[in-house]
Amino acid sequence: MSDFLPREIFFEILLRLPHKALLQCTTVCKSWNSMITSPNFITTHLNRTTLSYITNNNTPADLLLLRQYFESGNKERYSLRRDNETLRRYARLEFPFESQNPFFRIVGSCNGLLCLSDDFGFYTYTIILYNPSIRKSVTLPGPRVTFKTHGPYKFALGFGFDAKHNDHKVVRIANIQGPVGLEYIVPPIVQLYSVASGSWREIDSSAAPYEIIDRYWSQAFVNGAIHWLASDRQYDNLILSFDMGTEVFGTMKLPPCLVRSFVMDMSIKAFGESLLVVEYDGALFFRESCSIWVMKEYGVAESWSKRCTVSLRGGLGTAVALRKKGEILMSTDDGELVSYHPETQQTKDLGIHGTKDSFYVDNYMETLVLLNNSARDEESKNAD
Amino acid sequence: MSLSPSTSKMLSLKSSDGKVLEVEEHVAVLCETIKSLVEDGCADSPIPLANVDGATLGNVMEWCKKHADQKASADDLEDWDAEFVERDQGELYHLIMAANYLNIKGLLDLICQKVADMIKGKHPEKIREIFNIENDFTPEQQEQIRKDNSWAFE
Repeated sequence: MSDFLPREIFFEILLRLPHKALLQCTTVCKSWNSMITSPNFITTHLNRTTLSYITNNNTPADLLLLRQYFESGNKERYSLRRDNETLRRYARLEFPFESQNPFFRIVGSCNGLLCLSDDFGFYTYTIILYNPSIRKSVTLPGPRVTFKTHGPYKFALGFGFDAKHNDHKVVRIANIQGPVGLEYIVPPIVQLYSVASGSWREIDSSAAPYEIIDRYWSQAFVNGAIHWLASDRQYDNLILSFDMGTEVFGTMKLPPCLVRSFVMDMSIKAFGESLLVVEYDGALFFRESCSIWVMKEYGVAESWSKRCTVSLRGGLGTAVALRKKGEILMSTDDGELVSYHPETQQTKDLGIHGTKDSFYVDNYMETLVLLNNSARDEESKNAD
Repeated sequence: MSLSPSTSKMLSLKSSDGKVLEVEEHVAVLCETIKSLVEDGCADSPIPLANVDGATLGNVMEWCKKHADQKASADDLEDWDAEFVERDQGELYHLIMAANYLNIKGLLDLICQKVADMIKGKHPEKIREIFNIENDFTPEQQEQIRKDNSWAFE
């Protein structure tokens, strides 16, 4: 193949290489380097990966990202796993960050990027976007609302992708504590960070007179929008959504029995193209059971249905993730991650250890997102 | 609607080196370039294909014929394709250029994947050799880029 191939054909060939081979190819020549790190290439590569992820052909479409934490070594460990019987390890992932708390909160993951926030325990303002496949990261500038500027407040983050503008965004919702104490002021102050702009800006939140249910808050990015569990002024629970493209808030209904009940603890997760809510029941600080509610059709409140209830009396702790075949990955009080089958009510040991509340499991795909970002950083460094 | 091969019209294709190939129309229209000529009523006989030599045109039409065959199963096609791309670099080069010129997406996909598989895991120096690419980085730039992604070279 000694003759010259046109650029568009090299583009097509390189698109078919895995991310690690592509990183090697950036050193072949200048034109390959600029092609591979171009936004157009990264986006086309991402779309190809997403497509094969959906259609499940030729690339690893069943990858899960797992985070474990070991108290003994004070170490977080990240790996990719196959969603098979044993959750077999596919690759170890490098994790070069150190948190001031025992481990990072993983806000969410999207297009191969993890959004990490160092706020488990005491709040710091460290938020990092990290692509472990290519080991590139961005540390966000500090947000505007801090304890120093606004006194006590509570906040939640959301992370997702704006397909319309081809941009990854982080949303930070902060409810400031009112003068009386206890009460929080609505609407919250909402700030939005976009990777393309590299900075925060404030957005109009007048449409969102809600407060985030903040005990172990969670978020789910589905259908182009972020979703949180929130409550209105009557203390009715609902789902607050934020569309990444239009930057508009909306709400969705929860199953009726979760609206008014005093909820000890709930979390929201993505479930395919829709949502699920895990509800924990019990008394005081003792969780007795958890129920998984699935919104079968996205946005249709009538389609909520209870999928199963899991007794937590036998040592099971938290529902970490729902697997493709219906089993639930659960943490145990002993710090194990097990696979629970709702029908047989059997648990299967996976030989995966950590600490009880540190497990994180989510679908994952390997992408080049942020590759051009570091190239840009590099250029500005060279310019200095 | 599918044309039955027995009633299909024949088209004459003329390669860059003057060879004329008779091909059934339902086979030749797998090439988008030829298809639009036929649809616009511009398919003069023979259709001149200035960028494709006779041997390559023969190979391309062999692929089109197999893929126009409605009886071929997906598995069958996959096996057949795998054998079809077992060629030397020169032939692959001509095929990829022809598939691009004639706008045959399926064939272009197939050969791009084959070439990608060929260079996967190869050292950058080897890749330059395959494509006859000149390394236009200065040693300092080269070192810097390598350093940025050093783990990918382990």
